[in-house]
Amino acid sequence: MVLTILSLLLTLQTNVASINELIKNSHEYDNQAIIIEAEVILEVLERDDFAWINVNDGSNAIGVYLPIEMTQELKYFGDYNHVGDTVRIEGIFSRNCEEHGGEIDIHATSLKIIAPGYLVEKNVSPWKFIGAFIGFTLSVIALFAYRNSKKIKKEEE
Amino acid sequence: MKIGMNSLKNVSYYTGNTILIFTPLFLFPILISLGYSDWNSLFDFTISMSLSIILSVSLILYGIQTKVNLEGLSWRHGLVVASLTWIILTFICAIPYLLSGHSLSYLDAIFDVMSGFTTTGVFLLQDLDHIPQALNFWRHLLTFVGGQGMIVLAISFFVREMGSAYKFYVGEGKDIALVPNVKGTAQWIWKISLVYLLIGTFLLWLQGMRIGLNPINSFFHGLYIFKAAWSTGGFAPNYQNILFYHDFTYESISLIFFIIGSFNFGLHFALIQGKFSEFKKNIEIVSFFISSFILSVLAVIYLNNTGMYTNAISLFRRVVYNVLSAHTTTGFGSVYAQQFASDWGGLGITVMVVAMLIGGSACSTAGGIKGLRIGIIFKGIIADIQKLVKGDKTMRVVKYHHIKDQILDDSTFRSAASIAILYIILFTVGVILTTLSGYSLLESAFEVASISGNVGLSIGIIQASMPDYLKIFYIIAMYLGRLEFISIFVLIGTLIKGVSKWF
Repeated sequence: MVLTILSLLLTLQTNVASINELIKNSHEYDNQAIIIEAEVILEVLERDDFAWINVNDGSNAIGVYLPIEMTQELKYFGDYNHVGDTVRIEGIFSRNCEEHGGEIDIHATSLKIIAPGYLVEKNVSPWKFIGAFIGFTLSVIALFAYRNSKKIKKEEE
Repeated sequence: MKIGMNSLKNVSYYTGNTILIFTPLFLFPILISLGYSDWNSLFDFTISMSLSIILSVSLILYGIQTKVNLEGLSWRHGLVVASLTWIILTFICAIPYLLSGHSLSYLDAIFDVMSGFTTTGVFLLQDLDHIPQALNFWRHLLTFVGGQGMIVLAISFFVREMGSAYKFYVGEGKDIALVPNVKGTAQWIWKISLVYLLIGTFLLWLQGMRIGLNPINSFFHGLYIFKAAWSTGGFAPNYQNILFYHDFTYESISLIFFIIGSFNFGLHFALIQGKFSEFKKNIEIVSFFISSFILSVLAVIYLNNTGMYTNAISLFRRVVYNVLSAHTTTGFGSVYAQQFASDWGGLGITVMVVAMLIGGSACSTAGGIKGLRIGIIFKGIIADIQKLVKGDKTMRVVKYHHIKDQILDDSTFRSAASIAILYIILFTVGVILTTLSGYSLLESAFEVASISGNVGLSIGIIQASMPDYLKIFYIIAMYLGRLEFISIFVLIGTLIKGVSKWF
C-alpha cells in the first residue's frame, strides 16, 4: 500500500517540470501539456478577459497566460516584502507562441495554490545600524574638515 | 621629486572632487528606502555614502595644499583622474549590493556595478525578483549616470569653467564639443538626457498601466526601463527582462529610446538647433542604418528559413528587436539566453556577434567599436582602393560628414583603426580565455562580444557560478570597452612605472 502511494507520488513528481528544463528543451516540450510549480511575481497583468502572470521557480521565470477568473484566488505576489503564492499550473507550453508574437509561454488550463505566500519579516541587523551611525558621524566630521581646509586655503591665497 | 608629489596630489585632489560630486546620488536610494520603511537598505546606503564621503574628502585633503590651476594639468593627469575615478566609484558603489545579501561575493557586486557603469547590463545578483526597491533604483541610476559619464556629471557641477577639464572628459571616452566650453557641453549632455528621461518615463508609465501594472509599479518600471534603454544599458527590474511585460507597444517604446540613446550627443544637439539634414548626412547614422538593415535582414531570412519564427510580428519582436538591441549595445532580450544557443544557429549568432562588435555611435551612451569608426575605416579603405585602381598620383581629399564636413586624413584613419584593432584584440583574448574554460567557440564569441561591446545580452555563460578569473577578465573588458582603452593604458603605464618614480 505504502509502496503504491510512493510510486504514485513519484509519478506525479516527475510530471512537474522546472521552467529552465522547459526552456532548455523547448523543442521537445513544444505544444505539450506540462505542469510547473512556481511562485507568482509582482502582480497580475490584466488583458481584458485574460491575464498574464509571471512565475519563477528558482530555476528561471516564465509568463503564463490564463483566463482572468483563474487569478482571483491569488493573494500574495513575490517582491522584496513578500513571498508570492506558490502555484501549480497545468497548461500548454509553446516555444514560439503564434498568438503572442513568438514568445515562449504557457497557456494555463488550471491553476492551484499549493503554498500560500506571506509577508516576509525583515530583521534589521544591529551591526548595520551601528555601522551607519558611526559612518554618518565620521562623514559629518570629514565634511567639516573639508570646509575648514577650503577656508584656510582661500585665506592663504 | 617635488614636482612628482605635486602631480600625485593633484590627481588625488581632482579624483576626490569627482567622487564627492557623485556622492549625493546615494540620497536617492536612501529616500526610497525611507519611503518604503526599508531600514536594512537605509543603513546599507548610509554606510556606503559615508565611506564615499570619507574617502573623497581624504583624497581632497591630501591634495588641497598643492592644488594647481586645472589649466596646468597634463593630458596624463586628466586620463588618470578619469580612469581612477571609475575604479574607486565601482568599489564604493558595490557596497550596497554586498550588504543587501543578494550578491554572493564582493567580486560579484563589483561585476554588477561595472556592468551598470559601463551600460553593459549583465548581472550576477541573486533572486532579482525579490531585491529591495532601493537597490533596483540604484542599479538603474548607476547605468543612467554611467551612460552619460561620471566625469561628465562632475564637470557639469564644477563651479568654474576650466578649459583643461576637457582632458578629464576625453578620458571617459567622449570627445565631442557641443558648445565651445566643456562645462557647457557636459551640461547639454545632461539636459538632453533629462528631457528624454521625462518623456520616456511618462510614456512607459502610461503604457505600463495599460498592460496591467498598478500606477506605482508602473512608474518605477517605466523609469527603470527608460534609464536602461536610453543608456543602452539593458538592465530590467525583473528576471525576465523585457519579456516580463508581454506587450508589443512596451517593447516598441523601449526600442525607440534605445535607438535614440545610441545616437551621438552631437547629433541630438544638431537636431535641437534645427539642423535636420544632419540626420541624413551624418556618417554614423548612415553607417548604423546600413548595418542594421543588412544584419536584420540576414537574421530574419535565416530564422524564417529554419522555421523558428514564421510570421512578421514574431520576426520583428524576436529577431529584429534583438538584433537592434545588440547593435545599439543595449542588451534588452526578448528571447531567453538559452534560445540563442539552441534556436539561433551559427548564422544567427554570428549576426549578433557582428552587431555587438560594431556597436552604436561615438560620444553616445553606447559601446562597441562605434559606427563613426566603422564608417571612417570603410571610407578610408575604399579611397585607397580607388586610388590604386585609378593609378591616381595626385592627392585626393576624402571627406566625411559628422556634424560638419571633415577631411579624412591619415591620423583620423589611424586613430579609428587603432581603437578597432584594440577591440578585436580584446575580443580575441576573451574568446580564447572563455573557450579554454570549457565553453563552445560560438557561445564564447557571443558572450565576449557582448561584454567587450558593453551590450549585456547573454547566451548563458555569465552566471555567479562561472570561474572567478572569467569574472575578473569580464570586469576588465567592460571597463576597457567603455573607456576605450587609452585612459586605462595611461593608468596602467603610470602604475607600472611606479607612482613615486613617475611623479
